Amino acid sequence: MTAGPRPTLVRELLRAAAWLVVVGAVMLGVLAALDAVPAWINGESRDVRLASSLEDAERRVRARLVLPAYFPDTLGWPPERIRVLAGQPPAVALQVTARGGGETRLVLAQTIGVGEIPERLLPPAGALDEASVAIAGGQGRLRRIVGPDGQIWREVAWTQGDRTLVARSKGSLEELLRMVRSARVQP
Amino acid sequence: MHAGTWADVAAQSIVHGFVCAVVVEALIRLWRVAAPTERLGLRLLAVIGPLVVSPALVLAFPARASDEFRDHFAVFTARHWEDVRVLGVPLFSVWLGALTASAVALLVMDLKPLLRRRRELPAAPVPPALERTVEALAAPLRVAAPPVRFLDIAGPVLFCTGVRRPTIVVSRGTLELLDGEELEAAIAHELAHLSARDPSVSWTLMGVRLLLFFNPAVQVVARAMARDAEARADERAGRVGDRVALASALLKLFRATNGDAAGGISRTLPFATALAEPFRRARTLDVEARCLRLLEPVPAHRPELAAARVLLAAAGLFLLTVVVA
Repeated sequence: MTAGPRPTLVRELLRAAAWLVVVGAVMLGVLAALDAVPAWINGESRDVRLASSLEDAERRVRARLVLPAYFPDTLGWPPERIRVLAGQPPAVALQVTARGGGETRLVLAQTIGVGEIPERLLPPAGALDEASVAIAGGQGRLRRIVGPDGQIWREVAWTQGDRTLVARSKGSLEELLRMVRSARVQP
Repeated sequence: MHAGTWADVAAQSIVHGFVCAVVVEALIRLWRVAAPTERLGLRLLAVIGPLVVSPALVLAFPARASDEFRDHFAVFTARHWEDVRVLGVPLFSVWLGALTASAVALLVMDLKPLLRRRRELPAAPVPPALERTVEALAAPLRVAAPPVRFLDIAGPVLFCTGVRRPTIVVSRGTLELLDGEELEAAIAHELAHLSARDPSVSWTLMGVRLLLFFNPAVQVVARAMARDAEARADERAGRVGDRVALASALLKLFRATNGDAAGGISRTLPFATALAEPFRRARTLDVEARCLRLLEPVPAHRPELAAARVLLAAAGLFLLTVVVA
């Protein structure tokens, strides 16, 4: 038997592999922590990205967005915050403030394809009442909800083509329905 | 490709460079790698990562550029820092700009001596004793005895140069400064550089640095590789000459030239310019470390263990770079 140096080499290699695993694990941990920082600063989930413009959001989801053709001049445009979630299907949420800035007055969320709008993009809200409304030749669902700020919001949810859309507003119901009924894919 | 895509490719290369460099440096310390050849091999992996693996991943897997990969599969995505803005500027752009600027500064620092106009000094007839020394030392180092260029100047000059026609340059000042043993050891060191084809390697490395001019990790690792090449030449020279004499020659040359072994003469060897760091303290520490290493026993080098560890590290680094976008 000439097994003299072999066990030493194997032992050394095992030791080397163990250190490699340790270093790799530490590196992965550091990278994951660094990756989580931007989302933590923005108060978002890791996979929710902020787009710098509507064009940027459309580039990311590789589709034109459904936007209201009617937009009241009391609201500011472009949206204050554009949140994008890549996935199956991708989804986008636009947060709009009043013209002079301040708190969010309108949220317009949509999926790009068949599916539900993820809760990370549009948190669920308790409904106070619910009714049916006619939108884009189909039926939508109108609800009064308690928003994240504790105030009463109005929410309209409908489907348009293969997309699921939800609009939440703190404005008047008439304005909200007008916006929703004018929503279409921008040419 | 539009500018955004180029920025993504550059950012990925930079992050891959940092990941590879940090892991390799950690492994060198944890594995207690003392042999300069193994250190060179491991550090080469830190250069290969951003040079080969990063572009290969970009070309072979375009889906890695998608938000779905970046947001759901990648452990780290540089673009996520785009969502954090300071004074309206995305931090992604800030750090990409800052790291690129630091990499370019490191590269320019080492390129400057190369671009300086050369001061050609007339060659004098080579002393026969010096030629005999070079010939005698070349055989044990398995290198053809190179021509010697002798400079009849008082300043000490000793270096090797040339890719196609390797040459050793020695000055009268060096012959006067070093005693016989020290001169032999120092010439053996230069011959060891030639036997390892360090002039060609150093030019290749400078080419890689130019190609990855935006990558600070590559610039730093390349400098570390230059130090490894010096240590390797020391080790090889120590096998045919006296290690203590080589340490003594190193100290004498360093003291006489203020850290510039080329004696103010421009050189065409990027390894050498990489060592000509602008920080005097760093140069002093380099020489100190080399001398200490020469005074210690020869480090054990087990080629089979070294090769296995380099392969192990390569596999680990590849897996790490795959999950970083």
